[in-house]
Amino acid sequence: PNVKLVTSDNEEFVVDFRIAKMSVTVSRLMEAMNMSETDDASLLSNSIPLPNVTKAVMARVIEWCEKHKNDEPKEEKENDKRGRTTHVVSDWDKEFLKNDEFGRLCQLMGAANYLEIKGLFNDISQTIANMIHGKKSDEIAEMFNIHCDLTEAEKKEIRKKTAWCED
Amino acid sequence: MDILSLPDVFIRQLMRTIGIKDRMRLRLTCRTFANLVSESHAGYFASGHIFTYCDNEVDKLAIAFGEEVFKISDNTEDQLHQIVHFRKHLFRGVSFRKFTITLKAHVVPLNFSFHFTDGFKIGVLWYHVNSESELE
Repeated sequence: PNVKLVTSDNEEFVVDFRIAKMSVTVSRLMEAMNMSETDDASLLSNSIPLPNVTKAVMARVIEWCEKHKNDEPKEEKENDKRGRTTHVVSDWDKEFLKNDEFGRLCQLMGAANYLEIKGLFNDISQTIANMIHGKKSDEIAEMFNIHCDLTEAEKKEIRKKTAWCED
Repeated sequence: MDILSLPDVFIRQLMRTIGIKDRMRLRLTCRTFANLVSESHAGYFASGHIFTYCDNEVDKLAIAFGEEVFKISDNTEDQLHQIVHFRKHLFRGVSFRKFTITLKAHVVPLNFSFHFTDGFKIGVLWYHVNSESELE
């Protein structure tokens, strides 16, 4: 069975029921609209409006979901809810995200957050963390368009205090 | 796009994902990040370790957050005090599944580990003692 998703720019995407269910948001909306996998009529006569996602971003989300639709659901541990999980971005996901510049990654992360697709959200977050990893502060500032408002004296003081933990 | 204009949920998630050394470098990018780093949770690590190791026949201190290891070159009281003080600017909280403390009391005072881990959320704590006096 298929589900119709309509983006903010009125583009209709017809996706497999399993893919639609990967989004907690869509899943809840389908439930609220009494759409069920075994009731074709309910799926045909309804479409899910997604006013916070554009056509371009939705296409990327669906591409990611297509790849991951057969993944085993990951059990969330108590600690994971509070903090870091050792999230490993698979080779396919790295390839999928590698050409996205920061602005596009943020749009995709916004969609993953709105649609509640945790795997994609974590993939992007880890990708941004990987972009930061090992970079000097001025390189990070340049990459993310951060205007540094610390004075040279303040920076010097921070560097002095952090010298013990630099390699 | 400016990273600081991102919704709070993204920034918080990001802060839980990046490593401790990267958090320190982020502090140097701007005042907002300096505050964000000190006020945010550093996330969950499977393991942590405070230990002494021998380098050219000199006992030194090292601290590990997961796979990131900080080797402390100077064990003076002043330096240890600075480390404890600076730690408070690196995160508001941190969680470990398992945390191990293996210190030689003559190298690093035992109360350093207590001050350093103050506020840590630790699932299992392993504390290795070298003598009965340390146990007391």
